[in-house]
Amino acid sequence: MTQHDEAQQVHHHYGPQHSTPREGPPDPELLERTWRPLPGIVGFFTVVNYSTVGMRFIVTGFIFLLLGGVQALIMRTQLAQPNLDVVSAELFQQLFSTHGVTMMFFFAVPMFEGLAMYLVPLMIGARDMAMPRLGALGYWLYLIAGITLFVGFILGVGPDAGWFAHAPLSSETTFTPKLGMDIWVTAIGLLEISALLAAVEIIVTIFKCKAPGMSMARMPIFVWAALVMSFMMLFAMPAVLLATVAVGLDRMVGTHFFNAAMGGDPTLYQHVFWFFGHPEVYIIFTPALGVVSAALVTFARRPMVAYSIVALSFVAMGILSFGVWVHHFFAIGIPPIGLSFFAAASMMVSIPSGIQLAAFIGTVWTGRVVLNTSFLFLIGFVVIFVMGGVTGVMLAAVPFNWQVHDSYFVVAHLHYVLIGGALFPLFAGLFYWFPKFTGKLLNERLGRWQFGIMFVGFNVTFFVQHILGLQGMARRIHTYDADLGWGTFNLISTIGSYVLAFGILLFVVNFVWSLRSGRDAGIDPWKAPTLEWSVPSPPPQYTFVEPPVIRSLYPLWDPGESPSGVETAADRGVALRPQIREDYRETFGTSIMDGEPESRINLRDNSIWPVLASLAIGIAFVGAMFSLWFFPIGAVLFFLTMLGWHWPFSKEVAS
Amino acid sequence: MRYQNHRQDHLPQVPSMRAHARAGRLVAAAATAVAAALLGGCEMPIALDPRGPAAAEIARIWWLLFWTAVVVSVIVFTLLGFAVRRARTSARTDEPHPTSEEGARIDNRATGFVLIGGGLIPALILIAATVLTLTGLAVFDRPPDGVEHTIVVRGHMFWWEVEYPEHGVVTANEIHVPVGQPVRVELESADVIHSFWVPQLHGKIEMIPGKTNVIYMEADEAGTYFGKCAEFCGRQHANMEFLFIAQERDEFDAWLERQAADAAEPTDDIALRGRDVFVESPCAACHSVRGLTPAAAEAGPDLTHLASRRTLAARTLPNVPGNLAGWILDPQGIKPGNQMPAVNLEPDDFHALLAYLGGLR
Amino acid sequence: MSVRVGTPMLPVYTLGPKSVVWWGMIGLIAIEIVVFSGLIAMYFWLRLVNPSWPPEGIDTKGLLIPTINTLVLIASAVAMVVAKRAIVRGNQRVLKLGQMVAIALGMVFLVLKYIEYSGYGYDWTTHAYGSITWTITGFHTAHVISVVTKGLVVLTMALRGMFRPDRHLAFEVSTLYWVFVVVIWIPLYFTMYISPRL
Ligand code: HEA
Ligand code: HEA
Ligand code: HEC
Ligand code: CUA
Ligand SMILES: [Cu+2]
Repeated sequence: MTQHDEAQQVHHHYGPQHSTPREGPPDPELLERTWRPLPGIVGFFTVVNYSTVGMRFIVTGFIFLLLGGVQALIMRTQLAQPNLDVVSAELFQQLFSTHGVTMMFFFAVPMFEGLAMYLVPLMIGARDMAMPRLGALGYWLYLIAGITLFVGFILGVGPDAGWFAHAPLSSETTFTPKLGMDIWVTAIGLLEISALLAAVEIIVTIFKCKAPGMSMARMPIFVWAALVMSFMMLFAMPAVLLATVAVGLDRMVGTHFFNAAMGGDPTLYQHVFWFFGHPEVYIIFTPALGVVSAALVTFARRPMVAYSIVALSFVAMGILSFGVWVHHFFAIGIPPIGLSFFAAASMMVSIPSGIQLAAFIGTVWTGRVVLNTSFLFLIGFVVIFVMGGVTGVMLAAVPFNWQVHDSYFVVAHLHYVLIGGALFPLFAGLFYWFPKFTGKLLNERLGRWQFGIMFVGFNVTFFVQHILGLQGMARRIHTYDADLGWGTFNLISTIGSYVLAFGILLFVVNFVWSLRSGRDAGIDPWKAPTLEWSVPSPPPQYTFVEPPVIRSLYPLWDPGESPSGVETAADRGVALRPQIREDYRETFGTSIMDGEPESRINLRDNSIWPVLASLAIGIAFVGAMFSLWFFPIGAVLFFLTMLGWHWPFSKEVAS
Repeated sequence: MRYQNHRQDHLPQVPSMRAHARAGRLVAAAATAVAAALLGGCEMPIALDPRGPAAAEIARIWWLLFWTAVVVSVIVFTLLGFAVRRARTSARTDEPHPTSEEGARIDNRATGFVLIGGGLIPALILIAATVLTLTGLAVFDRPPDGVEHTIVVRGHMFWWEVEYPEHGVVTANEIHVPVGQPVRVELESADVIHSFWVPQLHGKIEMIPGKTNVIYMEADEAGTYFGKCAEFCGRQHANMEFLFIAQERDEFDAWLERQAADAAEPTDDIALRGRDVFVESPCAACHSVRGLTPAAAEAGPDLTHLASRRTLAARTLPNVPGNLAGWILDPQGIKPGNQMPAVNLEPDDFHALLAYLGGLR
Repeated sequence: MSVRVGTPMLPVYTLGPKSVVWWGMIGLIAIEIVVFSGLIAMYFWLRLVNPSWPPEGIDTKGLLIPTINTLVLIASAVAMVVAKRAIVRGNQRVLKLGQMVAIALGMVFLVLKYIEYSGYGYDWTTHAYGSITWTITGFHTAHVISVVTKGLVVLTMALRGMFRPDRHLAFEVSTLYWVFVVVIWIPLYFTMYISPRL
């Protein structure tokens, strides 16, 4: 290759290394051309842009919420009265297992990943995520995993050992002979890889792609939440990967990790799984808190009080949550010293939540509230989550835990914290950001009805489940006898679940209706403080015409004309702006702590390789259920796709 | 399920709640009343209606936690309510927000609230709750005095093997204990993880393959308590229940003595024939009858004193002759996925077998 | 808007902590460290619950091959680091040589591993001991295979003269990962070969 060719190659990848700043006004048309996805079906499989991929996560996650919800309704119907026979025991077990897996892994986590992917670049003033193709790969893996799960479920081989699949029930084919648990292994395995990719991507983006001037202390709370979530995923998800792989090996190649007769240990599984399992619930809860904070600041019309303490409390919660996993199996026979430690730790994990709630209330107290649907959901969040939180504290009290562990009391707790702490914040967020995502406002009237119906329906459904638990109703039973006296409360719960579902249905209606005939939102319908409200709705693929420079925590409320303290390069922002090229996908690379510009990051263009790589991994995992040979085959295919991914390798060459 | 109609009314009842003491307590009691009215006097295995020292201690902890939770929630809701009202009265939509500097001034006061109201006070409450937990734990730490009997309970998919090793007694799905005296229960599993739970007497503890857990059970009052497998263990997890029966001392001793004896000799011809049928049919491969079969068969419940038990198949059916016949004919129809296959028998043999089993008092 | 003509442009090409790819690799390594720590924890847990470890009847071969192998692996990492230093100084020859040596040593490791394991009289179905040791080894061996394969790709790039003192990100992250795969072996070596003898 001649020097000249090489120079051309580099040019192709990066644009010229040294050039003078662009002169004149920005050129949106050029940007449009640079960032355009390919047309047609090819475009569908090759887009890597954060907004498209993020939105795909959100929409797919919502579909899984509906699917998991319908499963829940079938379960509730079966349990409405004693000795009903709506579904068989076998189907019921697949229902609650798939419901749990769907809600935890396929709804909640990807939903918030998607929100983070969509919003983080907007909020930190980047044009895209740092590694757009990684995000796309993550999405395709998620989709393959979800399809595998539900194809299995529809074919009658859904997972059937509960969402956490305790060994040896899950790990020995003598106890779970059907393909269901293999599907669990495959689907969760793929999903974890997807989540890990997203985690790395979000972390790197927040570390390196903040707009000039956005120091850590100027990051919106939502971005903090996304960062903490991603770090938690980074350290927690590998554990569940291990747990699933070990179960898979026990089932498929005859290892004995969890077989007591052969030197294995069933309780080992619980340690490995719950080392992930507990952080998992905070992986869901933390970004939800981020959503709450974002909407709260806007609708309370004042900056978050005690911002840095709240940000720190997220970090503290993330760290503490790795020290409490044993509280999910206090009843396996643990020495008292262990019980004491983990009980105390589980209590203390509530302190950050207390701080967060106090900060929310403080913000409202000193603010001027706009009481719209989004805010109503925030109120719903506080009320429901506090009730779920205090039952969590009760569960941490070991002797009491022994009484209600694995009973409907736990089912009630988990729905209070998950629906209160994730679903309600999610709706608050959807009402808040829908205008940004689509350019249309959601209908407020319908929204208020939705809130009221969901709030009532939710409490009717799940409040009585506390009592059922105290009355001795174990979880995961497909039926019960009339003489136990659980019929009435179960009926109430079932009725409540239909009400709740109706509320969610209203949202679907609202969504479809508003998309077609909602009011136009404009750029900033809420007069909100963060950067995403400075770009058109929906944001263009290139996001910012002029890459912003940040001088305050709430740039749209408080542009911070006079940079305080030491003047940094970022404060000379005017000179920086024209640096970012418009004929290449570029964004600023900045330093982690201070947001000092360091480089121009060359972002990746549309590419077919993410989808191909996901197929290679999918072949390995899905195929392995039937023959282990698919694993090496998938590995080779994956290697080939990686070659293609990095082709032509010439980016290293200097001009 | 085909036999469901049977199931509804004939199950032994768990004892009626002591009407007085805890009647006022919370919803659980109110619920009992509602349910009782609807179901004609049936009672529930309410954890908060304890009949033993362990459950009583747990109930004590619960009530403390419960009232703490109520107080905390009410405070939070009140604060929130006031905050919203306060903020609303000063609100005009689209009101301009304060600048950062203005915000910062309010912030200083709010930070104190956040740290004290959100951090310090909850921390103190939580420390108190931790102390409560630890003192509670200490109670469970020491074995109670006066333990005389050890019972080994082994969980199987989906029934309970109950053994009194000191007395050579093996039975199933029914645990008898003397009232007012703690017994040592050793919990094991033959296959997957199960969990042993008698809500009115004690919290649950799991039965884990390769491990023996120990729990001390004591009932203050004679009665029949509902017990349940609480850890999901497969298809018939829901129907893996048992009866925990606390009896007066002499009653218990008599029971133990009867159970320790070998199986009753059949007295009539049909039953005698039934005995042969049993030995020759596949039944004996899974079920033992002490004095008749070599003790090896452990795949199914010991049937030595089958007829003395109140329920069949881990509290799935009341033990009445019709149900026994139904069970043997179609165990998979009654309890789909359980480990007992239907066995093909000639009608005559079948009736003889029934007569024999019916005589195993 | 005023544009200050002559403002130096920020670089597009960066190395180390300024580069997102570098951070991506750090992320991957962090994940893998958790996975390997988990495996080590599982190993010790299983050891704890088993009365004898390795269990009776399982004969673990001597320390010789694994120890040599560990040294081989460490040497390969040294070769990578030397090559990395060389390219920073612009020394193409040592770069290529270092990468070749590293690949060769990696392959020696794999061959020795094969020899070692084909001599074992037990496998993963024999006992939980076999399960965990074979899993750890298998997982780590898969890593060695992958770095060697990736090494071949990077070597091709090196041979084509694609790395320069100021631009060798692919080589940098490749070295990073290589060193990780080697360093993580050391605790594994102690866990599987030394700890049972202590
Ligand atoms: C979003 C998810 C989420 C969240 C946030 C939480 C939060 C908490 N959880 Fe929960 N939990 C789950 C999801 C969640 N949990 C799930 C899914 C399960 C079941 C899994 C399964 O088995 O399937 C579970 C199960 C579970 C158990 C095991 C139950 C069992 O199986 O036996 C325990 C035990 O300790 C527990 C404890 C806690 C505690 C102490 C908190 C704390 O973090 C709560 C902190 C919050 C508050 C306390 C309220 C706000 C604070 C204040 C207003 C300050 C003042 C408060 C006090 C002084 C008390 N949880
Ligand atoms: C975020 C998590 C999440 C969410 C949102 C939910 C939502 C619901 N859950 Fe879920 N649940 C779990 C997580 C969650 N659950 C977990 C982790 C378990 C433990 C699993 C296990 O034991 O392994 C569990 C277990 C569980 C049980 C216990 C099962 C058992 O132990 O036997 C029950 C029973 O009542 C239940 C009920 C419900 C109900 C009624 C809802 C309702 O909120 C659902 C609301 C309804 C909808 C969302 C449907 C809306 C759909 C429509 C209106 C139709 C529109 C259709 C189209 C347009 C196609 N859940
Ligand atoms: C393959 C083993 C197997 C065979 C053969 C078998 N059973 Fe069973 N039997 C079981 C198991 C397992 C249970 C427990 C089922 C449950 O409750 O889940 C059981 C339960 C029972 C019970 C209820 C016991 C109780 O205390 O609740 C009776 C009675 C019974 N079997 C009788 C018979 C008879 C009679 C035959 C022969 C016609 C027979 N069994 C053949 C395995 C077997
Ligand atoms: Cu045994 Cu559930
Ligand atoms: Cu937890």
